[in-house]
Amino acid sequence: MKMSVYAVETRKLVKHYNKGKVKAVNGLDLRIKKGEIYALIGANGSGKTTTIDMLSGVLMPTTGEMNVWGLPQPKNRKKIAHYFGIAPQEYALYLDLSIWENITFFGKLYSLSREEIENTGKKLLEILNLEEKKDVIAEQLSGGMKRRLSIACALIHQPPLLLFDEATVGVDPVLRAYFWSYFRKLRDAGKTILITSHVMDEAEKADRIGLMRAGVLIEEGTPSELKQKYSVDTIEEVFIHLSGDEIIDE
Amino acid sequence: MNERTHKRFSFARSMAVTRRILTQFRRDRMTFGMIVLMPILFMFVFGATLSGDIKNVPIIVENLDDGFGEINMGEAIYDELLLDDRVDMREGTYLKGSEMIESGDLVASFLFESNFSTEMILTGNASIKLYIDGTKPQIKGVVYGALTDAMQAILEGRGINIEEELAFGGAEFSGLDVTIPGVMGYILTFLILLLAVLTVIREDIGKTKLRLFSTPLTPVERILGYVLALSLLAMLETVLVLGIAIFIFGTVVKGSILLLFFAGLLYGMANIFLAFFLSNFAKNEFQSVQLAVLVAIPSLAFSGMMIPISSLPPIIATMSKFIPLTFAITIFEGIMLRGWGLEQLWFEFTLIFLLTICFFILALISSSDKSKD
Ligand SMILES: Nc1ncnc2c1ncn2[C@@H]1O[C@H](COP(=O)(O)OP(=O)(O)O)[C@@H](O)[C@H]1O
Ligand SMILES: [Mg+2]
Repeated sequence: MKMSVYAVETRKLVKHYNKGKVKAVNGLDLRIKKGEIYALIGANGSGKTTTIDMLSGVLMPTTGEMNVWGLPQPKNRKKIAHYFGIAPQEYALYLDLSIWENITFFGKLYSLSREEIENTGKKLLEILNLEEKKDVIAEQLSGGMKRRLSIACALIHQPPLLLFDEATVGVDPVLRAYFWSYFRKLRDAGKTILITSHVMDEAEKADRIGLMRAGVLIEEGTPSELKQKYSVDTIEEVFIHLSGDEIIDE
Repeated sequence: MNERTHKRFSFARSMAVTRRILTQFRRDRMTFGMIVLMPILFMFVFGATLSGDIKNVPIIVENLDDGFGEINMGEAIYDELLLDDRVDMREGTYLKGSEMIESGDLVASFLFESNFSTEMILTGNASIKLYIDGTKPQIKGVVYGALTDAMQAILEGRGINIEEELAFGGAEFSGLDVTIPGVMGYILTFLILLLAVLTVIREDIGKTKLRLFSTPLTPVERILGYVLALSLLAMLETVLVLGIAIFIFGTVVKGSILLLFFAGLLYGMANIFLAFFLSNFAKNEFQSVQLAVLVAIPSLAFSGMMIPISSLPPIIATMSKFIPLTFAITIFEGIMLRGWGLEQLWFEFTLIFLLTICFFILALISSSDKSKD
C-alpha cells in the first residue's frame, strides 16, 4: 500500500443529484491528515452526508477524485472497506436484533474470528456503557444508546479511520462530553476521525475544522487559528462572519 | 498502519447474512406464524379435495335386497365394498346416512331396494339409490370408483342405473381440482416469493442497506446469504406440506421422496431469485406484498392448480405454458401420484432449472452494492 500522510484526500469532488438540479457537493478539496480529528461543519443540506457516502464508497461521485487511506476510491471500495468504520447519521442498525447480535453481525462482515469479536466487542460495550443492555433489542434503545451502538459497530474491526456522521447530534451534554473525550483517546491511540456536525460549537473540540457550505469548503484551520483570523470568540461567529447577511437555505 | 487482506469471496460473510436473516425471521412473530401456519391452513382448506390415494371415505350402504333364489347381488356388492380400503363402511340406514351427509359426517349413502337382484336377473337392469356429497368432486370420484369396481366384480357388465341425488348441489364446485402437489407448488410460489421480497425490502428499513454496502460484503455474497436463509425456509415449507400430506392425509408418495424434495427446493430457488429481481421495483413492505400477490394470482389461476388446464379456454390454456408453476405441479404430481422419475420428467426439470439460472442472472445483474442516488 502506498504510504500517504493523508487519510482522506479529495480533488474537485462533485456530486449532483436529479440530473444536475441539486449540486450537493460541488468541487470539494478535502485533506484529512492521519491521526487527527477533523470536524466537517456545515448547515443542514451543505453536503456533509453526501461527502461521507462518497468516501465510504457507497455513492458514486459525478466527477472528481478521492483517495481513502492511500487508495483510489471507489475503484478499491471493497479493499478500502477494511480500513474505515462508519457510524451513519441514521444509526443504520438492525432494530430487531440485540446489541450483541448487531455487533457480532458487523464483526463477521469484516472476517473477524469469534474470539476477536468477543474481545473487542466486550471492551467496546464497557467503554460505551452498554454491557448491561447487551441482550436488549435495538428497537427498545434510546437515541443515545443507539448512537453508542452504532459507534461500537463502526469500531468492531478496529479500523484506523473513522467516519462519524453527526455522531454527537441529539445526544445529551454529558454523553457528548464523554464522546469527545473518547474520540480524543482514539486519536491518541493513532486513529483518524472525520466527524460531521451542523452544530458549530462541536467544532471547538476538533484538531482541525472545515466549514462547508453549498458543497464546498469555505474555510479551514484549527479552532484557534480561525478565531484569531476573524478575531471572534467562537466558531459560530466565524461562520456568521463568513456567511455575511446571506440567509442559509437549509 | 496494519495491512488488511481482502478476500474477494468469503463464504463466512454470506453465512453471517444467513444467520442474521434467520434470527430476524424467528423473532418476527407474525411472519414466523405465517411460515408455519400458512401451509397447514392451506392443506386443511384444500385438503378435503385431495386427489391421489384417498382412503377411508365414510359411506353407508343399506342393503334391503331380498335376493333372487340363491343370489343376493346387493349383499355381494356390500361384501366387495367391505374389502375396499378406499371406503369406510358405517352402520346405518339410507335415511340416517342422508342426515349424516347433511351434517357433514358422511360422504355417500347407498340403498339397494328389495327387488334389486330380481330386477337385475330378470330384466338385466336395476337401480341403486345414492345420496352423495357433491362439494368434493375428488372424493365423489373415489366413491364411484369403489362402487364401479365392486359391481364389475359381481355383475359382469349387466346394466345398472344409479339414481343419484347430490347434497349441496355441486355444480359450482365441479371444476375445482386441488391436489397436494398443487398446494405444495402454490406455497412455494406465494409464500417464498413473499418472504424473499420482504427480506430484501427490510434491508432498507433502518437504512442498513447502505451501511452494508460500505462493508467488505459483496453483492454475490449478500445474495448467497439471502438464498441460503430462504432455501432453508423453502425446505421447511416442503417438509411441512409433505409431512401433513403423508402423516395426516395418508397420501402415499409413489415416486422418490428425495427427488420430490429436490424439485421443491429447485422451484423454491427459482422463486427466490425472481423475488430478488422483483424487489427492485418495490419501495416498501406494502408494495412487496402487492408484488408477490401480482405474481401469485395468475399462477393460481392458470397453472392448473385449481382448474384443470383442459377445462380452460384455449387462449388461457396456452398461457399456462408460460407459468412456471404449471411445470412445477407436473413434476410434483408426477412424482407423488404417478411414481414418475427423471426419465419421464426430464423436460420439466430442465425447464425449471433453466428458469432458475435465468432468474439468478436477472437477480445478479439487478443487484449492486452502490446507492442508486
Ligand atoms: N438522494 C438524494 N437525491 C436528491 N437530493 C439529495 C439526495 N440526498 C441529498 N440530497 C440533497 O443534497 C443536498 C446535500 O444533502 P446532504 O449531503 O444530506 O447534506 P447534509 O448532510 O450536510 O445535511 C441537500 O440539498 C439534499 O436535499
Ligand atoms: Mg447529513
